[in-house]
Amino acid sequence: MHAALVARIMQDPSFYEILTFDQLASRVTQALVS
Amino acid sequence: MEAGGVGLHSGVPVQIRLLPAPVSTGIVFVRTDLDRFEIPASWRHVARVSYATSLMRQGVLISTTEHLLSVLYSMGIDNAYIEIDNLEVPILDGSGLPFVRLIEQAGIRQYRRKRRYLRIRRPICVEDKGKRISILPAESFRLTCDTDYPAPVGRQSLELDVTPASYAAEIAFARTFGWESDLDQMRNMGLIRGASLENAVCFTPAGVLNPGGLRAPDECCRHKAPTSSAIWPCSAACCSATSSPNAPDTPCTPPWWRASCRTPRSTKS
Repeated sequence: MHAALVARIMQDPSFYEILTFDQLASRVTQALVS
Repeated sequence: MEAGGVGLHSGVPVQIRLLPAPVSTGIVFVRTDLDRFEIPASWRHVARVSYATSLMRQGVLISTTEHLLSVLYSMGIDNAYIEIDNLEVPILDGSGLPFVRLIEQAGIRQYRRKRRYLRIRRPICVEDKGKRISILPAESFRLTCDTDYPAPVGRQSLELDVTPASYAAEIAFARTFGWESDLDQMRNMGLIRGASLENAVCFTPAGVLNPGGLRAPDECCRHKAPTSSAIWPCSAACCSATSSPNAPDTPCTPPWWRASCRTPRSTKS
């Protein structure tokens, strides 16, 4: 079942996004400030 | 690092060796008994997930990968070659703890190249016969697991922020388990040929057959949380995101998600 879950995620790019380390750091900073 | 033992289901003797791998390799199994045939730990290669998570590529199998892959992901290891000389990862003591200890002894090298990360953007849920797995967007990797097994196990719950430290302390020691009443049926299915009280917890209606008892009252839930939830498959997803049209050209790590799983009352673990 978990394999089906991951297959659903990976077959639909709207479920996820790929972030670089810098993008991730920026989001964390924003989350902490807000 | 090296380890050896028997396969839980096949009962075959097996040796594995974990080796450093270059940046962007991902986790790759190497069948040394089959001319070093490589099987990347990718969701695309998941072959069978009944009682064990197996990978298959071009007919070549690696079985019972879930404990080792769960450990690797939880310890933040993105790149490694896993040499293995048979078709099933050794069960060792039935938990991920021996792998954790061996990796800690070997050490973890950090590369300078920055990671990429997979962020879940909206909730996803899969249900089947009363079981449910969900992944929700979150600010950290938080795991929630609810299980309900027959007596003497009963209902158990776990909620944990997963980090290498919390995984090593709270999860890794939990062993695979089963019920004495299921043993004949499973053996007739060609399963658990390597199982013993040295590598699995065996329940009866009255208690536990293992002389040492349980390692924690909620050991079953702690074992199911990482292996049946989403830790390893999402790790595999990230490794294989390399071949998705919109994905990066390097393996990536999922930092922001909340995974939950619910297992209904059944002795089938």
